[in-house]
Amino acid sequence: MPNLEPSPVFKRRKTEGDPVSVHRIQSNQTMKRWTTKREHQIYSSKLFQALCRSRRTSSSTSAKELHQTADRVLAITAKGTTRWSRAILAAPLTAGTNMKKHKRAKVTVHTRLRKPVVNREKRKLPVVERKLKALRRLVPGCRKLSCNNLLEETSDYIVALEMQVRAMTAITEFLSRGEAQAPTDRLGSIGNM
Amino acid sequence: MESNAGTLETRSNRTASEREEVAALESLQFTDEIHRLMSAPATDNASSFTALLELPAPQAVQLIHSPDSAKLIAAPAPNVEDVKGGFHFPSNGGLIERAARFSVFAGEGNNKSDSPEATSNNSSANLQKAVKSEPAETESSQPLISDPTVENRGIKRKDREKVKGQTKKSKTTAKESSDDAEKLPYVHVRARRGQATDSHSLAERARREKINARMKLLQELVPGCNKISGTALVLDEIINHVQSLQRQVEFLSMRLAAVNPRIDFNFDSVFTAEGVPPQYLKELLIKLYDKRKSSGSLMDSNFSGMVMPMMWPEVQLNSNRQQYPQQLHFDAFQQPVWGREEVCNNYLTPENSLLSYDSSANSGNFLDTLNEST
Repeated sequence: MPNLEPSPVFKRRKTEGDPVSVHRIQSNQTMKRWTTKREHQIYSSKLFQALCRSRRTSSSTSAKELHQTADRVLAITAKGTTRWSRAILAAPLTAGTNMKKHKRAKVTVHTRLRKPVVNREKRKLPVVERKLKALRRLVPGCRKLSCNNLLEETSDYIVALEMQVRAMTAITEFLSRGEAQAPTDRLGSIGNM
Repeated sequence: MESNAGTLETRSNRTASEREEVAALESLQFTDEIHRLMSAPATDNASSFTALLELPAPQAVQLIHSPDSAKLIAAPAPNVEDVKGGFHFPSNGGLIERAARFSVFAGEGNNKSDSPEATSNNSSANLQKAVKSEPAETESSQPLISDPTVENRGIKRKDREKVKGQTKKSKTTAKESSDDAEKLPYVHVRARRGQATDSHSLAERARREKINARMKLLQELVPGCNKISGTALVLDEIINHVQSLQRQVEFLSMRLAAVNPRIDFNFDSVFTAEGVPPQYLKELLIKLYDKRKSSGSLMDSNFSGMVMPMMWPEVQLNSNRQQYPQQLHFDAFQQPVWGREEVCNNYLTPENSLLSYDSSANSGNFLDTLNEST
C-alpha cells in the first residue's frame, strides 16, 4: 500500500527529464493529474489535515487565512512542477494588496501628456498583449513570463483551480453534514472532557 | 560552358554528399544549402539537364538508368531550393520544367527494374513526396505546366506524388513540420507554399505554432471557448474563467471558515470507526503514543505508513455518518484521544506529506468516505 504513490511520480520524473517531449508530457500531465480522483483525494486529505492543524494552533476562523492555506496545499500537491505553485509556496506572507497600481497610473499620465495621438494608437494595437498582461496578473508567479509559457502555466492553473473548488465543496459539505447529524452528542463529549 | 563543366566536376563530389544530406529531407537546413547553392555557378545558361544536375554528362546518363532513384529525385532538389531562395527566377522556371521532365525519365528508367523500384520506393517515398511538393511550391506557374506532362505519362509513382503534392501538400508539410518539431531536438519546419524561408520567419512560424497549440489546449479547458475565434476574445474568456474560479475559491474558503468551529470534534469522529472494538483502538492509540514518545521526530514516513493502514481501513467501513454518536464512548479514553490527535498533528505536516508518499496514499483510502459526498 505505501508504494501506490511513488511509481506514478517517478515515472513522471523520468519523462520530464527528456527535453524533447516536455511539452507533450506537460500537456498530458495537465490533463490527467488534476482530473484524476486520486489527486482529488490526496488534495482533500491534505487540506483537511492542514485545516485541523491550523484550527488547533490559532483559534481564528478568518477566510483569508483559510484561503491561503488552501492555496498552499494546492501548490504542495502540484509537487513543484509549475511556476505558480512554486510562487505560492515561496511567498506565503504577502498581504495580497501589494499591487503597484499607482506606479502604472503614473506612467500613463505622463505618456498621455507627451504624445496623445501616437500613444493612443500604440496602446490600442497590442490588444492581445494587454490581455496577456491581465492574465499575468491573475496567475501567481507569472509576471515576467513569455506568452508561450504563460499559456502553459494558465492551463495547468485552471485545472488545478477547478480541482480545488471541487475538493473544497466536498469538504464543506462533509463537515456541515457531519455537524448537522450530531451536534448535541458533540457537546456531550465536550462535557466529558 | 567548359568552365562551367570544370567547376561542376570539382563540385560533383560535394553535391553528391549534399544530395545525400538532402536525401534525409527531415532535417533541412535552408540557410546552409542556399549559401552553397549561391556559390554554385549560375545554371541559367545551361541548356542540358546534365548541367541541371551539376554533374558531368556521363554520370548523369548513368544516373538515368540506375535504380537508385534517391539520387535522381534529390537532384532537382538543390535547384529547387535555389529557386526558393528567389535568386534566379526566369531561368529556374525552365530548370524546374526540365527537372520535372527528367524525373519523368527517371521514373521510366526505374520502371524497367521492378525490385529496385520497390525498394527505392519504400526508401524514398518520403523524398518523392517532399521533392514533388517542392517543385510545386515555386511561385511560378511553370511547374503547373510541367505537371500535366507528368500526369500524362501515367507513371503511377509520379501520379501519386503529384496528387500528394498538389492537394495534400500543406497537410503533409504541416504534419512533417509538427512531427519534426516534436521529435527532433531543434525545430525543423518545412516552408509552405508562398512563405518566406529565411531562418527568422521559420523560427517565428514555429513559435506561432507552439502558441497556437497551447491556445487550443486552453480553449478546450475553458467551457464555451471552442466557438469563439480570435485570440483576443479567447483570452478574454480565459481571463474571465480564471477570475471566476478564484472567486469561487474565495467564497468556499469563507464558507469553510464559517463551518470550521466544529472541526476539532469532527476530526475525532471522523477518525473513529464503528466496527472497531474499543480495546483494539485503545491498544492502537497507546502504541501510537508510546511510539511517539520513543522516537523523537515523527517525520518518519515509514511510521506513518505503518499507522495509517491500520486506521484507515477501519474508517472505510464507516460509510454511514450516522454512526458518530456511537463513537463517543471513545472519548472516555481522554488521554489516548488527545495523544492520537497530537500524534496526527505531528506527523501529518504538509512538508511530511510532501516527502512521504505513503501518507498521501493512505489518506486516499480515507477520503473515499469524503468523496462519497461529492
